[in-house]
Amino acid sequence: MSTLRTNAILDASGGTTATVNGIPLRPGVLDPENRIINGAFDFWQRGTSGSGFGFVGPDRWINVTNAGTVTMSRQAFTLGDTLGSSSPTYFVRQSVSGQTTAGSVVTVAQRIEGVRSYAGQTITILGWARRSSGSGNMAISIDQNFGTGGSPSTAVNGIGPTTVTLTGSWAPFAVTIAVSSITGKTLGSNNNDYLQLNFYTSAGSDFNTQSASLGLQTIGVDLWGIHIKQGTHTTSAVDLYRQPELGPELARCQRYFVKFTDPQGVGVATGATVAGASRVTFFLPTTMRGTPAISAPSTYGFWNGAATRTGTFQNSYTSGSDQFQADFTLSAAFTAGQSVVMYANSTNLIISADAEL
Amino acid sequence: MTMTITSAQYVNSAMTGQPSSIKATIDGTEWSVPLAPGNRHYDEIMRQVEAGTLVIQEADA
Repeated sequence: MSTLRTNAILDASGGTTATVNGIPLRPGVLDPENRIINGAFDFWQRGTSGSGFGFVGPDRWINVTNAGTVTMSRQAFTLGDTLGSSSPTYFVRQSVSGQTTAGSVVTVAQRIEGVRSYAGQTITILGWARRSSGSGNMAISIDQNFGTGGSPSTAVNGIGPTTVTLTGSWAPFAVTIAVSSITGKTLGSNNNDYLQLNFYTSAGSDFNTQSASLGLQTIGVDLWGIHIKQGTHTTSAVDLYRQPELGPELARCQRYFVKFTDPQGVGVATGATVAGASRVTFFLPTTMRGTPAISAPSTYGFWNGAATRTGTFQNSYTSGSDQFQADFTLSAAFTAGQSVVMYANSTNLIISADAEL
Repeated sequence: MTMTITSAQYVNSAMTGQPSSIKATIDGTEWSVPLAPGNRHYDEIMRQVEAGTLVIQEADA
């Protein structure tokens, strides 16, 4: 046995189509070191724009804000555009204004499941960024959160704060950070510890430590191709990035959030037991991180083979992370024990399951 | 993570009559939240209850 050490494997033409025993070398296939999900911003299950704190934009990414007006939106590349050796589809734009106080802060953040992720290792955060409006730069740092339940260790925030200079043109960045060891730390008992990657786009002086003294900004920041490589890398490594295959990447997103569009299912009428109800079982497309919360804001159709009803969501039963049941109140009761089919009686009906960190 | 929770009420299982979830309006969206520590919605509801800023209503009879 021998060890091969190299920084790149290219095909015979110097390109990036090399394979190993027929398996392409590309993210999602042989790229286990990258734990960022949806770094190419292909998936926007919740919608293509939103504002305020929370999961309002691309899957897995949090619009972190506590003041001012902060929006996230999906923007499309022009067909034929390239970044490095990729032909990307969408990027995320965060637009920030109205930040005025020392305690104001805005980031684009992703929580990576498990605070064990990269603990005690040197990693490099890579991608492309540009400033789409306003003025200023961005800063990158990492937080370690040990979860909830029991007596977990206090979070370690602001690891490796580094400024990334932005211009109005797409440019690659590579920020190397030594992630703290977690030796001697204590995890919470709720299995919800995580590593958080933060892209600061505005930060008052209360956040100087985490944001490399970025300062308050009015700015638009565009990001694409966010990924992590172990070890120290320069911007030349960014060109090796390939946007993940859509199927596996969607499954990775759905570990944390699932949106059924125009859902269908089968169930049983429970008659007048619950005000004329029907209970329907839904199978999630992938096992989620944990037991999800359920939102079902639409009015759905129900059919017992002879007559139809409409139904609205009443309650969910989520004893696991790969399926759930939901009770619906019907416009008029079916006989208890009858089989019923839930169907989409119009378009754009949704049911969401959320197990985000 | 800060969530705005404007209402929260236990919902009983139609089969057992025992609480099976919390119906809560969180950031303007109504969620059926499992009684599962580690679910971010449940954890936030309980955090706000412990902080004295939220009361979970009893289930309807």
